[in-house]
Amino acid sequence: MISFFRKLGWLVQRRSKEEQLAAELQFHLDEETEEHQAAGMPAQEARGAARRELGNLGLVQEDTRSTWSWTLLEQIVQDLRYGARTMLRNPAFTVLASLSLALGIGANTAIYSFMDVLLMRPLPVRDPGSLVLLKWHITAKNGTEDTVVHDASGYFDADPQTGTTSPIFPYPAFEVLRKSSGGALSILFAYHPAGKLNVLVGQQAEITGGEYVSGDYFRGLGIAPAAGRLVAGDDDRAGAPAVVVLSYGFAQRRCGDAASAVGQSVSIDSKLFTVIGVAPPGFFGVDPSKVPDLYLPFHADLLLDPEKDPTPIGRYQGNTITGQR
Amino acid sequence: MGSRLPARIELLQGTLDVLILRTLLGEPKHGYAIAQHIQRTSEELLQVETGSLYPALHRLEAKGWVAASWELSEKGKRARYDRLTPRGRRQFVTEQSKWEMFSRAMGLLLSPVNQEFQ
Repeated sequence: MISFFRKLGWLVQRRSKEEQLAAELQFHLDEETEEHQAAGMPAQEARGAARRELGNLGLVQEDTRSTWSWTLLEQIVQDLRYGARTMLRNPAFTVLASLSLALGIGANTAIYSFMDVLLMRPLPVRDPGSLVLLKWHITAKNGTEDTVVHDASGYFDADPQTGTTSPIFPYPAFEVLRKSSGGALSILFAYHPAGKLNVLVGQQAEITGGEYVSGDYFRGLGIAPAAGRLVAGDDDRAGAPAVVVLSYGFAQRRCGDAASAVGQSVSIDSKLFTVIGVAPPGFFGVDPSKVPDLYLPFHADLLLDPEKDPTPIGRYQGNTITGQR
Repeated sequence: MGSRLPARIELLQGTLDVLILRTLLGEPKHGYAIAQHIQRTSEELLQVETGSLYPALHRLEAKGWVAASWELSEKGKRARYDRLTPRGRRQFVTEQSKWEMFSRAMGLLLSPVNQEFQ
């Protein structure tokens, strides 16, 4: 510990120590030379002999210097400086290396942020903890592929050991569940991606993502509109007027602001829809991997695409569940 | 040519420090005087390389066993004089007893008395 503080003190008087060491070695040389001269050697020869006996002067200085400081620390600093110099001398390589590092770090950060939103954070809806995603499951029977749904489009998890699982239900099945789920769930609603839709607002068309939602979707999630009203039960039936709810971002981008979007007519896949409201900012549906701009009632698919199978989401009636078990 | 020079022994690793401490036990000395003293006292058997002497002196200073000051030599030149600190003196006592034990052990093992048992 004493040596640590001593070295710390020497750090500031480094230059004078260098000079002192040079003087010290010079004194040694002079003494040696005088000794040789006293033994009868000519001056020139005596000086040469003294130098020879001293050996490599630079090495002696280097070895002595290394006792003044923390060799390891100093070498690290040297390495860093050497690295910096090398990078400066080779800017193309430096730029490429930093770029690939930046891209690598950036990509990792992006993927992590995405996974964070997708897996870690609760949905930005009322009481996300009480939401449940309904799935059907069928156990495997001797390796034969068995299913309760035929020709449904969506996500299936088929495992020869455990069987097949999927959150995609036929619409009639959803209707049955919705009417009979009262005991376990306070509300049952559903969504299905509508894919890419061709939207014409004013004179400008664009392709954007849409989502079909059942009449209880917004009520079930506990979402309040930013403007107008959201899709409600009566909008989602055959023969109801064609209505659409816009995402907040889309409304701002295409209509100026949320309030002025309400009541506008937009053309979706060449069918006219009336904007009845705008979803609140920050709301992106229930699937963070898709951020739809248009929310359409399920029955709008009769106009756009008559084959849709919903993914139902229920909300537990907390009291009922605990009361019954 | 080699036969005219006195045979010299290379210093064992770690012996230089204790030799320096011993040399400074009396009065403060500069580096050259230390080297001369060790050479002469060992009857020229031990030669101190300048390349190891100065790093050793500065290492001992870092450990606080010797302290250095610049003074005028007997010939009137400025020279760096090293003197033993109290810590250095204690260190020397420790080292000395270690070396006495070591040399006694070596002597016992290598002494001609052992040859009688062969």
